[in-house]
Amino acid sequence: MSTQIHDLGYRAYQGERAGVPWAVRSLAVHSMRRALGLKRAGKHKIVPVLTIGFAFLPAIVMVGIAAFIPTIGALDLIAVGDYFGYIAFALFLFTAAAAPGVLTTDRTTGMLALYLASPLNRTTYVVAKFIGIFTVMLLVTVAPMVFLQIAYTLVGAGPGGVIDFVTSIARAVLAGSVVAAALTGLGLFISSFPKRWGVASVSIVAAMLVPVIVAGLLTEEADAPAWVSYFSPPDMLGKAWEHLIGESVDRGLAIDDLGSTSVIVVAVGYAVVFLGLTWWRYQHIEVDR
Amino acid sequence: MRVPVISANRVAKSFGLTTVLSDISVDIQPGITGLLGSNGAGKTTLLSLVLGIEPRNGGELLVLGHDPASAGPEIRARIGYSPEHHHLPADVQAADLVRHLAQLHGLPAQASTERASDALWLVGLGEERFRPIGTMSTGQRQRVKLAAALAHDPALVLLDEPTDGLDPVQRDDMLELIHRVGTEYGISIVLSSHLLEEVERICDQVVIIANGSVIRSGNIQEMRGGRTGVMVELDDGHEKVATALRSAGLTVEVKGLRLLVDAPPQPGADPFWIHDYVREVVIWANVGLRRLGDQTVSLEDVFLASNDAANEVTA
Repeated sequence: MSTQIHDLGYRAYQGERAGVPWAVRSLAVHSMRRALGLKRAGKHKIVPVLTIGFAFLPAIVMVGIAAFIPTIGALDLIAVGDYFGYIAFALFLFTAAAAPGVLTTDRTTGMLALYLASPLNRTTYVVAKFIGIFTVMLLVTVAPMVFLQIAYTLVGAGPGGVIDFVTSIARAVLAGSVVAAALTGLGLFISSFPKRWGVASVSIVAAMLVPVIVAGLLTEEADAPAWVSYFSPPDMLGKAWEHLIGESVDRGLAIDDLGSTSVIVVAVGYAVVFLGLTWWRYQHIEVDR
Repeated sequence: MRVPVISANRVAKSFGLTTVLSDISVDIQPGITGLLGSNGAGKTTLLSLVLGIEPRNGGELLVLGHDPASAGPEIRARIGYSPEHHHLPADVQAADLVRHLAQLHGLPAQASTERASDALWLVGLGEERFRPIGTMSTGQRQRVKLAAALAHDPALVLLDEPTDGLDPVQRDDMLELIHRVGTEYGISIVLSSHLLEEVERICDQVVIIANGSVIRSGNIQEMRGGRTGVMVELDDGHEKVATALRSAGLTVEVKGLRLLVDAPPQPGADPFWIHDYVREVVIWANVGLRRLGDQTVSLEDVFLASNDAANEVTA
């Protein structure tokens, strides 16, 4: 028996060639996979698995309680409006891990030069990265809430009628999307500066925690006006979440004095401004070739 | 008449107050073209303009018949690019990287996977294609970049210093591979390099850049041609032989151990009469003969002469 190696040589490609939208989609999907640690070593899967787990854990526990203790009242269950507070830690951790992992490393590994030599340009590259991270963020923001609403409904602890159910799902999607967009924008913008992703991650965590502490001290201890909280992304996102879900809680804090419309506008503004700043940054960024 | 793959007319590019390219005017024909210049001459900047990554400050530029300033994505879809650096993502498998880049260039998922595999086999990494790039040598990474530049079947490939970091054997292999791509697969190649020898070895055209301008361009054979006469290399007795040849009416230039001998054309004469005559004189002078052959012009001669001319103009 003999073996023979067939040299196929080079074959020209005669098939279909897609355009820029396909390239954007391809990079967005690739970024999602990177952020989730798919086709990567086990250590890259730890943070996504933990954060998504953290995000779903309260929902799973509550659904379990509601299912197995039918006598428990709706007031004792976590309301969807409160869910942000339970998953805030997971959200910040995920932002700090995902955004630098797909943006900073493109610069240090030279991939940015290869991307800009494809049909993508500096604008479509940023758009693709935003879509990729935003979509993954929805797993942490929207997915647990939708799961919670559906599960509450199935165990008889959810909204009463079909219209209420659909409205509650729509509100959850809207609130989760606004938060995901704002955190994605903030994460991408900060990740567009440092050369090391670790520095970017720490900077993102700092950008979340420092404003919360400073705004809290100023408004609650130094009698500063409530609008100071506009400059604290986590405070704004948490409050916008409550307003969009329609379950705003007055805790007697200064931030509760701010109007719902202004809070939602500022939260959406974070997404728009940070995405715009990331775009601006990438128009001028030096590409290592 | 062949349509140039790249046509530039007075193309200029500045970064702030620094002018990198001041006057690039050249037509690059299909085939393998060497973009030659010292480090910092502006080769990589010119490639960036060709790709439409950087906007130019002036002039006209057509790549594959389109202006990169207005049709950048369409042009880049048909260009393969291998950058100078080779620090690719360490934890990504070669096959995944090449497939991903083929997909970005417009190929459907299935075709991208197949062609990525084919391209890696083509560059000699078929068995290694599922290895993470971080475990690969510099030579293998250069091949991965070449595979990534070829997988989407481009019409034009831009290779920026593709032999950088390679040992002599790897360099020979890489040049052989590039030559195959350019000659057998019908893909035009622009090879940016600061190494004369490799451009001379595999390119059929050259564009020489210095101080932000094209100082010479064209077919390498034509550049090297046009010189007649004989080169003879001797152990000693150079003056004796030179004097004897001059007394016979030949022009002689002494260059180190070599004599460059020429004569006015003699219609109807044996084309090798001058070789025979020089050999007879060397025998008569009884000196050691090392080499005797046609005078040739190396690309280095062209490069140095072009540089001298450019410097004179600048002065």
